[in-house]
Amino acid sequence: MNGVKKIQIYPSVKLTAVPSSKFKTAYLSVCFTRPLCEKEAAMNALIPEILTRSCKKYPTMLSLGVHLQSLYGASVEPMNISMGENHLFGLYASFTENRFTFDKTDVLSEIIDLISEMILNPLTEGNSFDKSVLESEKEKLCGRILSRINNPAAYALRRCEEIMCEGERFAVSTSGTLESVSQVSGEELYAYYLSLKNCAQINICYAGSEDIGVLADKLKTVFSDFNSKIATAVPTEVKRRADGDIKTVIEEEKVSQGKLTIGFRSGFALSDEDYHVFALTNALLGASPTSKLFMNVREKLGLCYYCSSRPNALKGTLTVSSGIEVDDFEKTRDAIFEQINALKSGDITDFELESAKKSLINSYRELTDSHSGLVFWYLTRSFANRSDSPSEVAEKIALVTKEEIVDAAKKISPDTVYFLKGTLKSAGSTEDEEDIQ
Amino acid sequence: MSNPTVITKENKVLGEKYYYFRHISGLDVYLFPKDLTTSYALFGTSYGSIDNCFIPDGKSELEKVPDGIAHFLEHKMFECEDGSDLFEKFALTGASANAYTSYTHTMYLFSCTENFKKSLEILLDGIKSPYFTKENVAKEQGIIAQEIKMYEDNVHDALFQGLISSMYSENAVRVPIAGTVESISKITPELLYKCYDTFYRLSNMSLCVCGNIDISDVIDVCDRVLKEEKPIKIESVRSYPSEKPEVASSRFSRKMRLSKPIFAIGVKDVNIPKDPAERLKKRVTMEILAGVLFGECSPLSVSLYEQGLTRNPISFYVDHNDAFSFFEIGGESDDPEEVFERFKAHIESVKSAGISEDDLKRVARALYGEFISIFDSSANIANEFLPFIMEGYDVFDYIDTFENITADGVNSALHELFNENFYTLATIYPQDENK
Repeated sequence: MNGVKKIQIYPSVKLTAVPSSKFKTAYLSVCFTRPLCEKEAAMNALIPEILTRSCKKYPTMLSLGVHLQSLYGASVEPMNISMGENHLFGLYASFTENRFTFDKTDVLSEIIDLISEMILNPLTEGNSFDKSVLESEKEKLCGRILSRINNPAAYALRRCEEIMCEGERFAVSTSGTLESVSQVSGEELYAYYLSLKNCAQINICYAGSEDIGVLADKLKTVFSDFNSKIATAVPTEVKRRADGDIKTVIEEEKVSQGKLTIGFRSGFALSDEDYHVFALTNALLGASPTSKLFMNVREKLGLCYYCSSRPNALKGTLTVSSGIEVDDFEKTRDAIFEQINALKSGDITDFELESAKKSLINSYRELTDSHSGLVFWYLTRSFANRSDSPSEVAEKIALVTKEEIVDAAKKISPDTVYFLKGTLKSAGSTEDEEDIQ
Repeated sequence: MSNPTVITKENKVLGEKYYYFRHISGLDVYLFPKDLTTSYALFGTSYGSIDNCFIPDGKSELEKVPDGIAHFLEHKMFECEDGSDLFEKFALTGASANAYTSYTHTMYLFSCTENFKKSLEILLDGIKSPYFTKENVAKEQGIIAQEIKMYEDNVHDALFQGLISSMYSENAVRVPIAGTVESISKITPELLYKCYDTFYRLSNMSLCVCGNIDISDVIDVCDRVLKEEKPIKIESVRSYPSEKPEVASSRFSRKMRLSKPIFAIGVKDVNIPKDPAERLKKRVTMEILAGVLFGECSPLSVSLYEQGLTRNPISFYVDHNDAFSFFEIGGESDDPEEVFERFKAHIESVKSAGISEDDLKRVARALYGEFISIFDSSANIANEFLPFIMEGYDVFDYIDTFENITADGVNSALHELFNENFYTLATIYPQDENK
């Protein structure tokens, strides 16, 4: 069974490791952790891109790319995520376990060396990151911010969260804004980067077959300068109930399908002892193949192809999303509320309860077969000060009663209805196309 | 219990093996033992969206069926005669089930951490028990219409659709897998049965199971659920139109709601070897060639990116199977036409300089490292394994083929495959805000 090992390498440097020898590839990530905030978000978003693009030892994309290819196609990618209201930014690597190389390459040591070069010796000029690298990464980041609409479903989900959590740290985007990105200077960013040694927590995650003690010793050398005694993660502000009336926001875009997202305050946060009750409530509502949303909004009413719910465990929110005909907005919204009300009034069959339990327990058990899944599980839980394993939670899920579900559902309160209204009749209509041949 | 002859195939370097047997019903079964918590089953038919013209079972003339019917059929296979659906049946075992349709096959699957035997029974029995009615077809038309609209709004799907429909004039890959809202409106229960009866024959299907599974359990379930069927010679039933080597159109362009233009360059190839071993060799050659030509450390990718012509290093994709074959190179750029020119110049310069043994070895090593990661997941193993089998080779053959690729072979493939007549540029530009 996969256990988790946590080693405090320095006061602010923490290793979360899942030792396992059943895989052919290993995983290693290093993330700086700062409170999510408007002032730093753009800088935090740029740092991973700059670090993984080049370093003094491998100053060009070509030299770095050739090195990675010769390490059996290892990858070192930027990482930029939020954990509740904390901003985690850095890099992650996935690479072949040493025993599957045909020339005895010590891939793990090579990867640790490479990551330490990237973090400790980035390309600089004077007191700045390399200017041309920075400018190109700024442009790329602005491009990514502008292309959020390219994925209408994800765009609608995020817009709903932003509106619901306006004024809370959670509403801050981990990419920053167009204005804040364009204002970042090489000097300012480099000075900030150097200051991270003293003000950021470092979260390192590993899954693989290396002895964890040996790995910790190697990392101790790499991070010897990173010994802040004050850096701690911020607690995430959890609003237990939505206040006042439901906010409704409708925005138009030139797409053909409408995207509906409803944001709720779930009434639960991962730090709650009984969070698993809510996790099961969510599975029953819209996160399992026989969920109320799937069986009713899609299968019975035929309103959509997908209708599902997703919680943010650390923030205590829940979002329900669906892609629909523009004219079906009200009908779908009401159908979704109706399913939540059904949960609250105890309209839950034994079949629904049992199948939601089985589905959730199955997905927790399957996690033990995924490196990155397990690492992410324990990393998320560390922000709620818990380290229970997927199997332990699965055992608790099996014991949840219908009454507990009803009580949990009663805590869910709707906050924001967001509708991205498509204004195209059909994406394939000829007036929007032109053949330039 | 039946007693089939079981064949074992092993790869010592990877420490992996699988068992194969042909069940008395005619179904080919593959078992990949893995010491993982998750078990996975994939049951599929060599029948995909491009099989839209065939001689139905019991008839003698070719018939054309509506586009998107294979995908529609996949959705409808989940419906059961008792009014329930397969999701509900799987819910009782805790298995997580799904299905997907590609151009060339339809796959049904589940993953589970307990009750494997019962879940396998539900899967095999469900897919062997079609139940289509006017009412359940009408309801699905609404659901799939929303699925199609979701793809239509996705700029990357729209770009790929533009690319493939510009490359091919006749081949049915030019039509979206799910069809169109209009084409699926013509689907009837009778048409669904026609397709089902022709292509869902056990001799045209395969089963791959992976995980901590007892082979006698698999044989036992097959014995109980599967009846012996008369094999069908699928090659004489299908009809694929012939396709000219040149692209249908050298450009595709449209406007959509997006922030920066995106492009895809297609390189069409119609020379597909009939012999599976030859086809595999060509596939691996094309994959290595693409890695050398378009990989992150190719001069093309590096120069486009460093000069700001593309926002990220270009991405690339190779597909080579018995029905179609092409390269796709894509990215985001303010000037796709310039990228296209650079692409063409790059090809010509590599043609004259040649590809070195060192480049080839390095790219092959990276491909190997990436490929072996599939053996870390029972789902990934089966999902890779079964399409390989349907192509006439297996994952071990694939790895072994790397050793037989030479610089000479890659260089001659480069000359043969890359020719301006085979190139298409597809682009999607941002819509004018005020239009």
